[in-house]
Amino acid sequence: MLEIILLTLRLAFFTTLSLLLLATPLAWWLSQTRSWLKIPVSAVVTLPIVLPPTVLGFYILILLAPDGWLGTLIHSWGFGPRPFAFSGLLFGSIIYSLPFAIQPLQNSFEAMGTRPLEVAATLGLSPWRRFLRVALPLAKPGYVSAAVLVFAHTLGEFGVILMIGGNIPGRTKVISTAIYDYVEMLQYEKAHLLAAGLLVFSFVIMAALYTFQRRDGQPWAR
Amino acid sequence: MGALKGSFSLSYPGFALAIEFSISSAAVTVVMGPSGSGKSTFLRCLAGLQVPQGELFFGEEMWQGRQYFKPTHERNLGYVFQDGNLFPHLCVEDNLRMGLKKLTPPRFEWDHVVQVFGLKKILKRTPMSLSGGEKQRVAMARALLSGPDLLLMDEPLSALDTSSKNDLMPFLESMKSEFGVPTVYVTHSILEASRVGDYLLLMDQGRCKEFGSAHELWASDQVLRGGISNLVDLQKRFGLNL
Repeated sequence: MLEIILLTLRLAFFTTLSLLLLATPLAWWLSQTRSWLKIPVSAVVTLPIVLPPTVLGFYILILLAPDGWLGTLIHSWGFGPRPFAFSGLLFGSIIYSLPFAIQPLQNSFEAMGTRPLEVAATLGLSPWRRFLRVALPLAKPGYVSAAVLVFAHTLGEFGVILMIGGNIPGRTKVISTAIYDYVEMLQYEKAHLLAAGLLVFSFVIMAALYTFQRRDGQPWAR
Repeated sequence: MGALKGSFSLSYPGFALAIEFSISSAAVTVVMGPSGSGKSTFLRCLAGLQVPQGELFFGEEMWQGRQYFKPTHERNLGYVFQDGNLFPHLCVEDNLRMGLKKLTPPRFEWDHVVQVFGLKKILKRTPMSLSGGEKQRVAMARALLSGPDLLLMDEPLSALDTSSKNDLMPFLESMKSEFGVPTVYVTHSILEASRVGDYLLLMDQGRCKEFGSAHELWASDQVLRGGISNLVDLQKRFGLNL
């Protein structure tokens, strides 16, 4: 059971870390652009919220298959995400949780408005330094929200994980799929232990998030 | 140091700015005019925060041409906004350091600026804990510490109550006398204009209506030839405050 918990936490940690890095430029672009591409890109990014996880998992599985579009590339490179392995799970989790990272970050970038960046420009800061020294620190609440939401969301993933990972003990079996197994095998005590643990943990981190948002919700000082 | 001169236009629904000007860059030029006359837009165009069509030169340096636009961060200017706009995630000291450039020697000494604006006791405070007047003092000091060749000030006292305005006026005058940075100062207030202005540029409906020596304007009631015969007329016509 410890192995399952550790694998789940590892998956949630790396998904969160990867998404905070990958979502930042995309969220920044979405918050700043006036391009017509904003609408289609926003719709694509939000798809994982409305799509059934099995649909998403199915297409990711096809994509990663050895004869799939991405799978062929991965085979030629010799590295990359593979189905029924941790790397495949991570890839699927990143796609599945993308909107939970993009939306808080985009909202934070939009909420700060243009004025702080204008002030920084008049002080001689280049666009890159403005982003690092002004936009990123001011978007801190968005980063905390994104990290908590992605982590919690990844802990509870089921459909995508099952489709891409296959529930292989020691490799791709995580808490949510283990609970399903235990219930199927009528081992309710073990199912209870994992389910209650997940419930309490999720409650604690969401409560921590709301506490942080209430404490740190300071507006852009005028 | 040469003049700040240019000719540019900018329009959007309900507003058009079309202005040609040549301002001495060795003094304080006060820009006045009724609300919506384009004063702040004019200032933002000078800073490169908005992109008009036309040309803009600061001395020999081209800031904007037909196919050239120098971005704001490459124009060596300071800008004081109406509301201070300090960075809320930084204390006063870090706000001030944000504009420091690696100039040796620095154009203005840190200690001198901090002393002139009376900031020593509030260096460790956060912007949230400052009064409106303190925020504006920090904003002015921050703009100066960036070592600007030109200072742009957009109604820096307009968001303050009368008492804070009165408290801040001496700092504005010290700013002019101690640092002597060429300044374009937008205001509605005749009082502020008369205390800090060397030149006066009157705007109306996006155009420059009058430009001249402030000294002559305040000394004579004939300087503004557009039918403005005295301060009362000036107030009425341009919606200005004493």
